[in-house]
Amino acid sequence: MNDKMDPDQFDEIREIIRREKEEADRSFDSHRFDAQLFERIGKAREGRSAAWRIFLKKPAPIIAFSALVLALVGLFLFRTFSPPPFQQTVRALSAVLAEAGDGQKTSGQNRTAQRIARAEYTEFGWALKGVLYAYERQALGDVSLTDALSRVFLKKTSPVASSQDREKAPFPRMESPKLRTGEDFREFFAGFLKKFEEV
Amino acid sequence: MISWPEEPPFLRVQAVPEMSEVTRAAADKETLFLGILENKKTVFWICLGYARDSVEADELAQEVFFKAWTKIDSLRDPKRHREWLFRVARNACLDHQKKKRLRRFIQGDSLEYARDERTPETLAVYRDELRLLKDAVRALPKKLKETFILRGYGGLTYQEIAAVLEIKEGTVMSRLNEARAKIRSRMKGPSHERQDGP
Repeated sequence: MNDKMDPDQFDEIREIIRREKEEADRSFDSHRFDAQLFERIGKAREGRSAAWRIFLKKPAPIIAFSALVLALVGLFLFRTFSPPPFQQTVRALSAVLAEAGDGQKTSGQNRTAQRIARAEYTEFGWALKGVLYAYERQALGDVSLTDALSRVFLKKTSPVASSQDREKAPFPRMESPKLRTGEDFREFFAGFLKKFEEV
Repeated sequence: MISWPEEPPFLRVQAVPEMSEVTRAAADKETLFLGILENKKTVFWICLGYARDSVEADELAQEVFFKAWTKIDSLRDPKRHREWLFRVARNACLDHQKKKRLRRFIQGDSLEYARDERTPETLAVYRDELRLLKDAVRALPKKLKETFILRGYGGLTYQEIAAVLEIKEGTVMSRLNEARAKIRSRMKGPSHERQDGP
């Protein structure tokens, strides 16, 4: 477009800018400008050092307040993200049984001992499956012991099934109480052990 | 050399041989800042290009130097402090414009022009022209506007503009040409503006 023109040839524009700058210069007071700037910088510095001075003089309230805030945040996160106690118990039981019965986590050193123990635990597993069958009145099929236990516990902790679902169920079964509290869980487990003894 | 009204209140450290490292660093920082402050007129003019009048430009220039003071540790090469300062100024002006646009959007303000402290005769001579120029500069695309203001108001060399905007000198020249052509065309009237406008 105007690439070959000298950019400074636009005298008209330059003249307007020159006059504007001239006018602005008249109102620009260099000393006042500096004074204002130094005052602002000084205040900002004092503010920063005052905050440190307060902290250094009385750190206890600030530390206590920070700790309280951290504790509250921690409690909130714990309550939000931690699983309910029954799930924790189920997981712990499942983990123990998985390690003992299925023998998935074997180390090189105690492989022989594990092999012997596995045979015993297989028997124990079948016995447990029998108990679960007796308790739930349902065939468990060829599922691992961990899955079988999880299934039972999950049923106990899941919401009550609708009447329609109950009609559709292949095997009629006893309605079991919900595990809402630790007491419910203890009762359920006591019943479970009783069945185990019977079998 | 700037003549100080009195010793600046924040300047209490003077470089002497037996100072500690920390004190020396603080003294160096203040000396460097005083060197940077010598460009206040140029910064003020650049701000004038973005502002509607000298009062706003003054406030904006204050903001620029305050930011420069707080960010002075990020200045790696003190020899290139002018380039660094003008970059700070440009960013501060762009931030200011964004805030102004937002305020105008929220409050529905219309643009105001210079608070008149001049005689009616002086005003009559160039106020219309100035308003036209300001409108035309404001209507420029961002890239053209900043190049034009750095050159037209700040009086920076092509080399300095190229360094501040991190572009080639040739690009600076072509942007300036384009900006001036757009400004002229807009100042001539609405018919020209429609043809050449962004």
